[in-house]
Amino acid sequence: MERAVIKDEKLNEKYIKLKHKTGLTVLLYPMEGYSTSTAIFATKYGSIDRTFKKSTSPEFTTVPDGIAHYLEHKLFENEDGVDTFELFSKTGASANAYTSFDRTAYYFSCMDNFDESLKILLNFVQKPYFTDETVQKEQGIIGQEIKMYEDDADWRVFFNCLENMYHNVAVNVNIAGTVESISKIDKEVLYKCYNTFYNMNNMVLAIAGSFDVDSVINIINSEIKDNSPVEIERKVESEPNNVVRSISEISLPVSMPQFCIGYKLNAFSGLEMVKEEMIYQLICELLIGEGSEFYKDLYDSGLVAGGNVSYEVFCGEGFFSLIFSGESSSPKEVLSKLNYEIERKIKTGFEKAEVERVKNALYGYCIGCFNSPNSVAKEALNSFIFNYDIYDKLKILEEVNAEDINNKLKLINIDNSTLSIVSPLKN
Amino acid sequence: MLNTKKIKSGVYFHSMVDKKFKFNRISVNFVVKMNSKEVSSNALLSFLLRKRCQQYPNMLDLGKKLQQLYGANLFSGCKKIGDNQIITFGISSLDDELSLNGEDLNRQVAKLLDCIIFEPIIESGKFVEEDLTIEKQNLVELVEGEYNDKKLYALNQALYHLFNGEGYGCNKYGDVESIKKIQNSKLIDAYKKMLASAEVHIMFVGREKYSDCFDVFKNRFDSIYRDDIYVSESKKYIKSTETKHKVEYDQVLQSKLVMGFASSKQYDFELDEVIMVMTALLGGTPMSKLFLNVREKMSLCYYCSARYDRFKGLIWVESGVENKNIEKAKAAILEQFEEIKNGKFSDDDINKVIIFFEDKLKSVFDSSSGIENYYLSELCGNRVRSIDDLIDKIKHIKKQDIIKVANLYSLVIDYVITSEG
Repeated sequence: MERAVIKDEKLNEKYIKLKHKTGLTVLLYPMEGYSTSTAIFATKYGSIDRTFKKSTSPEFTTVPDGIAHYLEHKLFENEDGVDTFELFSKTGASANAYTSFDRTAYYFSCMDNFDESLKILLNFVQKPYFTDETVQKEQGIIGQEIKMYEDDADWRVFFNCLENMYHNVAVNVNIAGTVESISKIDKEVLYKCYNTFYNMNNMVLAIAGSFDVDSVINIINSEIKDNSPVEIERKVESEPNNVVRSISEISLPVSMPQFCIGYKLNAFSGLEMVKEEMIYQLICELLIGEGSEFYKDLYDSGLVAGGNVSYEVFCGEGFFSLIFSGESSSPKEVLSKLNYEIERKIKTGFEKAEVERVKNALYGYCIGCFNSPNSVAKEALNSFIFNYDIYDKLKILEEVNAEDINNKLKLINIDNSTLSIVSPLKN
Repeated sequence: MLNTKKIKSGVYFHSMVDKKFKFNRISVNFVVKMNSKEVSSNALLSFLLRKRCQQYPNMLDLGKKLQQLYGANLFSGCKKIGDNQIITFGISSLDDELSLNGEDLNRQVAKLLDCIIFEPIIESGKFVEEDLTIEKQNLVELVEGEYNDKKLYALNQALYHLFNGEGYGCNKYGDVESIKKIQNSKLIDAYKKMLASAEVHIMFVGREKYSDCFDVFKNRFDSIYRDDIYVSESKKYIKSTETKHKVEYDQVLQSKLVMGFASSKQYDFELDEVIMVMTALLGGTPMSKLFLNVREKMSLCYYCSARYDRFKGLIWVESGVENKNIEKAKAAILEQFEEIKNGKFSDDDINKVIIFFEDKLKSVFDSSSGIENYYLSELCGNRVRSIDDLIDKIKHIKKQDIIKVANLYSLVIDYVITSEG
């Protein structure tokens, strides 16, 4: 296995990066003093990967929406009928999985019996077993899950915002799909997706906490099956720069209107995207963080519940946007005020002193990622998905200056924004 | 180990240091009796005080200071632990050793928290009227906003109906009507009462240096007159009435079903660990009866889980069910409970639950908020169990013990939110 030790002298931390002969990337982050460990076995395959092909195949295939998530559910079943949770229950590990736009991750955290739990994790993910009957049966549970999210105002206001922004990139589709789309899923298409995306060349094993490095390497060598590396081509849909629509509104049983405001920006890849993400996080904190005048104005006016507008730099391969969300009796007024503030700041710029202060805050936030095995393992997974080293963010942060911030601020176009509202039902 | 020092009557400083943490977490927790008359004022204090203080009279300056302190997280709010309301103020911040310019963050943070709690801006015997107006509105919106999360809302409604809106049945933030009626002078009285009479637990979980923090709060409480001091307590709920059935109609695609179970006999607190294990066997893990049968085999619910509130002795089962399957789900949940009462589970099932708890409990020490939450709950229960003792007790639980406690329990309330028709 190719092996590299990556260090951060200031933080006095290090981790090991390995490339297994199968193509699997292994990130091992031993953490002194901790008793627990978290292991994540993940594939770079999420809900946005709907049209793809192996490089050896002649044509692209388009699969039903929600299939990555469906596959995640099905992998927990084994050919011998033993449920994977049952296996973990013997080691005491807490195991679960999730699917997002760009990844599917299987993970566990535990105190004892780490090696046994790791073997279970590596085994069940590598042994798909689907029958027509079990595939059919899962539609009931996933259908329930989809309905649960349809009642969830936070989820709906966020997804509607994405739908308002994106024409073609599949972040505009629910991760779990729809009741209709999942009805088209059968075992053949599940195997097709599995055999494409669960190739070790497209996967990572990230482990952080209290574990023995040599023992983990031995387990990887014995449990990871040989596979021929697969090169995947994902069809990149061209995405217009403009938003789809500037406003949408639905009604649900909520106490007051909820909103998401999205500003669509150009997408980036890899380390460049990480740098842009850091810069725009600083911009958002400068705009509406607790130390900003805008936050104080919102608080004093009572326009936003609790004065709180949360922000997110929502980014990945093919998408990059800023999303501001909260609750307000008048979401349109919030949008108007936020647009005004952005325009004002584009004219005046942020001063060096305030940028340095907010950099301090983001530095604290970044260090927070190294405070538990769970958050370190998640950060390691991110570093694989976007192809950077875990400490790169700290280096980027050190180098960012007020000029970078003010230049990037100018790229926010208030005319390329959208407002998603979930309002209370009438009567 | 948790190190406890008594600072003053009813005021305790607890510390747990561990070099592995990069952050220090300090919280000051005021414990008072939960009652419908005072719960809203206490909740309002937790939000009002965090906005400004004498050192930072402008909330913008306070926000800037927190950013400068490497994004220190100032938190405040309320919890309900048994019959107690806990009003918390705290800060989680980077340790001195990790600061970029050698700042003394630990001392600055402790002093800032002290100032927030004990040096509010009071003019002519009143809080800033403008703050009061805004925070009342915010708190009203927070309480009303619980309706947005139907899972939480259903549980709160079940509690409200079971306890007729009193004590444990109160919302931890109070109710809209009471919040709106809070007067400035009454809030000052509530503030004074909290400082003088609440049981106080100051918790430090962090890297090493807690002496700055200890000194700051020791000095503070030395100057505070304490009287009529509350001692935290909780009384277990014993079933004495007919089972309550409540249905609320709303426009939901998925119904929420909450079922509460209680013992009809008094029992010794020594049985808490057995009931905890029994509840986990019923619905606390992915290997539980509810998960495997009601969710996986019968596909009735996307979620269906059970948890034990040891302070009140209640078991809560929560599930998200398709509207047409409510009665089926209810029957299936009761059936699974009956199976436990009839001993339809194996020693292997018990062992899995024991391993689950062992892992979960030991993991507490890897998170500063986990340590704080665990010990705060124990302190409010007046019975601080070390994690090793707790694990040891759990390991000695036998099948017959579980059957015995399961048979103490029966349904006291079911609460459903569903759509009409």
